[in-house]
Amino acid sequence: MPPLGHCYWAVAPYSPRPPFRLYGEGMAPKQVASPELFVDAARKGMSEFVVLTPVKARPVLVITPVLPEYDEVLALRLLRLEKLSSDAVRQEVRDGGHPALFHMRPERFPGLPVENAAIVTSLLRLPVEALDRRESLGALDENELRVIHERVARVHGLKLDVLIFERAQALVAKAQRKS
Amino acid sequence: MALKTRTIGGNEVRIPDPQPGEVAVISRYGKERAMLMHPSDFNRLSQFEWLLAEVSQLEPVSLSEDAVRAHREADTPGEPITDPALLAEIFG
Repeated sequence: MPPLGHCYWAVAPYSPRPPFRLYGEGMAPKQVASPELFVDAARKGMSEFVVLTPVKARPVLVITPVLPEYDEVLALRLLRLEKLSSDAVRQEVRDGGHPALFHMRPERFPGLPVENAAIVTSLLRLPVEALDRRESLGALDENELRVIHERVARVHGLKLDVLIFERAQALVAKAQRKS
Repeated sequence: MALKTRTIGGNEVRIPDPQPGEVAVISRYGKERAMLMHPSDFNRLSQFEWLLAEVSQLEPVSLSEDAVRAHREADTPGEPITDPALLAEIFG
């Protein structure tokens, strides 16, 4: 089953951020406060290190088809609605009032034990092998997926105007050729 | 998404005569139940829906072999430095 629109358990990394916990053989992790020393070393030809990055086994929502050349998908982390500050905020999320939190209707996600929202700002690039695809926890319908794509584009400020304009131009040209 | 149409025979319902540019809202108990419009308006709306769907249909991007290789190489770790002496030299 293609994973697009489905929710699966996955091993999802946190983004490494300072202080970086540097791994060395036989030593305790060393904390490096900022990226500058890494960059200085890279300029001298030493660019690869091991930084300890926590990962979490968590459900994620896959929002793109598998990019076949790389076997990767984009996915969003989830937020349990119970973690929100109040019933009023929870209801706002259900009503679509928080563009960065997409409500996942419980009836569509029977595999999730509690009500969740997808965090639109938490885009993850994941190898398909990092997904546990033995069981889909539920799936979005086509319209919900459209809404998520629109929100991802808006929240990240993706400039799609030229793309849409070029498509419109092509359609106009096609219509003119017909007439 | 294209609008679906359902044809109902004129003898089955009593409807007002829709005028171009006008929508008749049929309400019941204060709620909008249906809207009636002239066929020319409906056709315009359908064409707009079609146009919108066409415009937003993205052409797939074909990735060159070089692009695929570049992505793989950028995402494949090499031999990281883990020698404590060298790390001490670099990071203090």
